[in-house]
Amino acid sequence: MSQLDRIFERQGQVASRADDVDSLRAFVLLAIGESRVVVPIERLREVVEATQVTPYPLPEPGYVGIANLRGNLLPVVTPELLGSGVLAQGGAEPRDQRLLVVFETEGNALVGVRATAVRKILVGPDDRPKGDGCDNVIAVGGDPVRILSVDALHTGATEPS
Amino acid sequence: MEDDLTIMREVFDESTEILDRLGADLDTLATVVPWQPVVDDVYRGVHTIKGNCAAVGWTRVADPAHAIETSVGRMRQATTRPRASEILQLRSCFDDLEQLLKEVAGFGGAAPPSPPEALAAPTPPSPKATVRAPASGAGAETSARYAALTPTVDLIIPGLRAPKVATIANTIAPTSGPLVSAPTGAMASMAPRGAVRNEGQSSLRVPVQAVNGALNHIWEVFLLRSQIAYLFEEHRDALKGAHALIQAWEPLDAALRRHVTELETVVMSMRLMSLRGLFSRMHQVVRAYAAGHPEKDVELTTHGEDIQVDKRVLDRLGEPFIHLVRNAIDHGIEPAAARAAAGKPRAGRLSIHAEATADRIVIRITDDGRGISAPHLLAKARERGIDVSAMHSDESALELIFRPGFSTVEQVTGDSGRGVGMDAVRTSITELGGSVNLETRPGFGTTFTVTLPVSVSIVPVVLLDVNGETYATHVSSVIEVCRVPGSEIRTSTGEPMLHFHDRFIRCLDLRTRMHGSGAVDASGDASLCVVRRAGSLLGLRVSRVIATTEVVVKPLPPLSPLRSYVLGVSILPTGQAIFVLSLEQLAEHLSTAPGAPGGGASRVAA
Repeated sequence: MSQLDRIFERQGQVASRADDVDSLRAFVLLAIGESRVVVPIERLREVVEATQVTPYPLPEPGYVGIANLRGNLLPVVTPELLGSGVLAQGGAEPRDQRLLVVFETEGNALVGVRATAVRKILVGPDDRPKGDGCDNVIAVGGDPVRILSVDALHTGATEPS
Repeated sequence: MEDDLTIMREVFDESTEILDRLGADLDTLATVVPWQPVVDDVYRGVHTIKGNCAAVGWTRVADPAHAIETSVGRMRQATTRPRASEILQLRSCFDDLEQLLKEVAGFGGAAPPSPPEALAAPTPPSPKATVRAPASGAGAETSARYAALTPTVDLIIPGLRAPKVATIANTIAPTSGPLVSAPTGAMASMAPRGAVRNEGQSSLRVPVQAVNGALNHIWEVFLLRSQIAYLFEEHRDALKGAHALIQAWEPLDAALRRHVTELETVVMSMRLMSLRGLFSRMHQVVRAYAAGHPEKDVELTTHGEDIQVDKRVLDRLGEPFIHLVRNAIDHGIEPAAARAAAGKPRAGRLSIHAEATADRIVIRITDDGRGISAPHLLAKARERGIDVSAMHSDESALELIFRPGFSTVEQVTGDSGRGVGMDAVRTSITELGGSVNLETRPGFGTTFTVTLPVSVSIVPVVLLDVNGETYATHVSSVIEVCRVPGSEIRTSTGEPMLHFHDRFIRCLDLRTRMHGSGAVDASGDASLCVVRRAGSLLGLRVSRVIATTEVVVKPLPPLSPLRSYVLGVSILPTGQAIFVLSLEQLAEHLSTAPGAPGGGASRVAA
């Protein structure tokens, strides 16, 4: 049983036909300060609490630092680097972001983002309109929420300066 | 013959690795921001493949690589990102290069009917050899044909497809160089890389990956022991009543530490390789150069071939050393006639001299050519709009040659002059935990001194505290650490200076420039780490010098921004990750990029 199947079953939304499954996507809704973003669930590796992040010696736009996750070192980046757009700053100070959300890119590299909370898992049909400039946005409770693109890092889109 | 084949194998392996890297570059090129550093990397990679292949006589690869390099050079000059079609063409060119590599190395693919170029190897190197060869011959003819094939528009290089190229190349019979009689695919017949027992010589050939895997486990054990020891010390008070435990623990811990260290030494020794292969390759480079430049005589002498260095270090020396040697003979050593007119021996002398200390290797590459003129460099820099107002000494002016893209050569040749190389040389050496410096005397020659660690593994470091953050730097890069009253740091024309032993040295306050910087206490004692930068001493003020210790230096995790001043990362016994810094490079960065602490990331760890 795949990860998606388990989620669908838990939510009583098991698709009756394979075609339906193909059209569904699952996202994790994260709170970062007062802002909300989502990440495709297949990219989520784990969520850990209170991991110390060592800042880079000199400021690196988009990069927070590196973290030691049980011996595995990984870069911690800002959500802006993953395409979140500019987030609301209220409550978004690092001390409020006590979680480290760890993602795995298509290339199997780990990358972390600090977050305030993991809100919920969203499952639904992937019927977002394409090509209208809003490909990276989904509707949550009627509000637009940005999708973080972890693989943007894999493709090297890491240099905002 | 075996030496040559070994070198060719290295060239093949290195070129293939570079092509893999460039393939990954192309994956990113359509989207990466900014795109220029990726094009720069592609350019450097193709430049290296060209140089390596030319050095071993593989002109069938070197010539198209030269054509590709020229095309990518145009991309570099462009103000817009390469188009998707250009990226596709480039990928196709790289596929062809890979196929050609396999063919000339005899590793398969559409094998040409003529003997592979691997067999047309030049004569084996001798410790001292005068090299001279005609400019004509197969190489020149092939170059001419490729020149004719290379269009003037963008990246389209028709005829590069391997079978066509093979056909073209095979119509040109080799006219120079000995043709060694050996079976087709001589390199392919070399010993396989898997485990091969050779009991007659009491040795066992094992894959490098197996040794590296063992080392990684040893380093993990080293780290775990450190963490356990740290925990024990942290809770020593709680164990006050447990005398028996403490008495048993301490000798066991000491024994464990000793065995882990010895085990690391033993396994590390398996990775040690002599410099002989590297030096032989430099002989090839000189011979290949001389074949196309009959106007120059070059005598290369090498010393210290038997000195051993970690394979991980050695593997990364080929590219920078080729740059250094080619620059020396292309720009440093004058044509024979000019030398005679200047009262010098007609043959230019180039020497590579290696010597080992306890934990470092020093390699000096010396030529007796025209040297480098600091005023000339400054003039060229001004022409290019570079601010040279702070370059008051020859040493600082000479640092210009390590700037990316800086070249004083008016004409680009197939060998050098594109401004590629010296910055990459320094970056490569620095990433290994080493340094490269130069001394020159106009009219008399130049010496590049490359200092390297014997190995990259468990290294002694100084731990520094800057604004509450801990950093490590190699002990060997620190001249001295000292603590002086803050009042002893005086200001001269706005620049903090310290009277250090018998001279004044400049000081740089890292507390105001690094992470967490803000208001710092200028009074009280000052902790300083004195390093050498561009031939001068420099005092770096930190919050505190914590201690010296040994750490395992690991590469940066994938997707991290790469900086010349970050040599790697390590994990302290507390579990905290720390950065291992090159203070020399950090000072260089802070001096040249004031107000732009991080700057734009030039590369990302893969």
